[in-house]
Amino acid sequence: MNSLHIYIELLGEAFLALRDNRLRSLLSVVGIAIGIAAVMTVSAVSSGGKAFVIKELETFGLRSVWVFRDYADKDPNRRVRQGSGLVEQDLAILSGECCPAVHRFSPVSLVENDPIIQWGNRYSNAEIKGVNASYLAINNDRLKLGRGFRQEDIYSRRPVVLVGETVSKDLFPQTGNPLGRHFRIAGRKYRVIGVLQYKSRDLLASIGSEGGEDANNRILLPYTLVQQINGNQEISYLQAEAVSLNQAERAAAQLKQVLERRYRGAYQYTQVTLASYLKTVDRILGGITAMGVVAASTSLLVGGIGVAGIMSTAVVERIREIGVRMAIGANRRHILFQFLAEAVLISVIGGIAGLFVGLLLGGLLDLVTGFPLIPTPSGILTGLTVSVLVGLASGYYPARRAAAFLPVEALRRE
Amino acid sequence: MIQIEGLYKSYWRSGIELVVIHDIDLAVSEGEFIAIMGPSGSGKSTLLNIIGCLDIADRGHYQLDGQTVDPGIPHHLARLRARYIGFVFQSFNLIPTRSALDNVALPLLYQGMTRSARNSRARSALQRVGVTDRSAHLPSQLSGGQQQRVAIARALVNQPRLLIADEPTGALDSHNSSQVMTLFRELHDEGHTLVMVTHDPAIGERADRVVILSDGAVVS
Repeated sequence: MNSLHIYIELLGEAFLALRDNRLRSLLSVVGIAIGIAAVMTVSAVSSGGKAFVIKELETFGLRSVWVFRDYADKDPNRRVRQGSGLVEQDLAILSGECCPAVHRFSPVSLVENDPIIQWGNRYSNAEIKGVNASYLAINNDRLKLGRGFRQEDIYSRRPVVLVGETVSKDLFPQTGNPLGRHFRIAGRKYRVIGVLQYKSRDLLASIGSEGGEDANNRILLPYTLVQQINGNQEISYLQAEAVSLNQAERAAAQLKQVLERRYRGAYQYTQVTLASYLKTVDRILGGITAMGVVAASTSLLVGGIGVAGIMSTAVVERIREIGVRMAIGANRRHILFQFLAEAVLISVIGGIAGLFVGLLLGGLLDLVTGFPLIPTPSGILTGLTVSVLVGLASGYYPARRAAAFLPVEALRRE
Repeated sequence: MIQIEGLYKSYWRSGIELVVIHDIDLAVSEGEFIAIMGPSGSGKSTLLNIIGCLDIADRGHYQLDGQTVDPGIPHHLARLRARYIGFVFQSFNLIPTRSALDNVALPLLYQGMTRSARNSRARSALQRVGVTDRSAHLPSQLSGGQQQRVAIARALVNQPRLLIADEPTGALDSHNSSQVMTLFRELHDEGHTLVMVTHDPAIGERADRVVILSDGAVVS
């Protein structure tokens, strides 16, 4: 007597019973499918949203850390000081062994007065940043054309620049290739050695963060040249790259500590890390997802109740069949299994249908809104597991009732 | 084959005890064909159901083929039904959505047989009762007599030692009734033990022995 074989055959019996009641089975399948599709879509929206945000934050380099003077000094007794609290001489100390969590960093110097940027009678309103040779790698910038800065460019103050696509279009609309061309910043001539690859920050731009900074309307110079333009040794802020994402806060703290110690508290510093943005994004999306999942689960619950109702009806309707099956040799476990299998089959078929509907909905939403909905393998697995559980939960009570009859009672009912 | 001593069963209805089986002793030997008769309410169906392990008694001792039947263990009762007993009901009790062949093969599913083995055994059982040409039909497409013969085939398919029949001809006309009884006689001649409930004396006559119940007790 092969009992596993019996249960496989009973699964077939359950399937036949569903087929005998096609419309009813289909309706309960639809109920479950709607629930699973809703849960799927909500979790896909959440993971898609995160991917969307990360994709844009990656354009800053996810491990980026910004350290700058905290101009809102908290100590009212502090003497007023001028300056950014960062100068050329600080860099040598920072590049030592002070900061093991920092992988590399670049000083960033901004031009103090808006200079005129021109080539012939064409002008640009680009933002100018003075950086070093590490900046492109830290900031996740790639070059469309040309080369990046070399150490010699920085130290010997070579008048070379990297430009964003907008700058290139504004100044050199006719020529596709601006490499080797010169243009003027505040009267001095600079040679274009590279063009930055286009960066998409549509979402961030739409939220209006970063003061509407346009990543494609940038001119990068050796920071030493910006110091020259400004006529001082100041550095506006540091952009560093932490050794890993979860070391970002530590990297910032190490840099701050070195600076505060060096100036004996004359300046205070503050930091921004993308890691903390990511945490915030995670928290917000997590909250939205939790609410969404609760809402979507309600429809799954309704679907499950539907299955429980259908199964209870089926038990009452087929009570005589239950009695017959018992009389010809089924034991209680066989009866329990068959009815439980019917409920689980309904909800698993519903679950699979729901997954497909969810994928379809996700694809459609992606097509219409451009918002990527990413169904994760774990989401799909969860969907299927949940549908099995819903089937078990909604089928258990009716199946128990079916199995609990004395054969003679079941046979006596009409 | 069947040893029953001091069997007792009652129901409680609004505080009043209705005794259905009142201290019955009964012995049926192997290969015997007995008919249980009596007026309605005499407890004959209940006695038959207890013999068939479909129902349980409150008290008393029941041995089937040398094994003590323990009414407290549903699993044990299910195994006895599966292995020893074949049932024939007054209203046939075929599963309406399954073909005759599927109905006959169903008991073997619970024995763990493969589909092909089940079907070949079911086919020979159908042949035994003479409805081979209708094996693919649904019960609703068969006449009453054919349905009852399919039901008998289902009762026979797991080669039970004991056949239990509750008013097997109750829903049949006289022609079909006598066909069913002829079949029962043949099965009896082949060595099956048969226990049948009927209220029709003409049907009862065809058994070897008639047990008459009245008010839950054996009167003859």
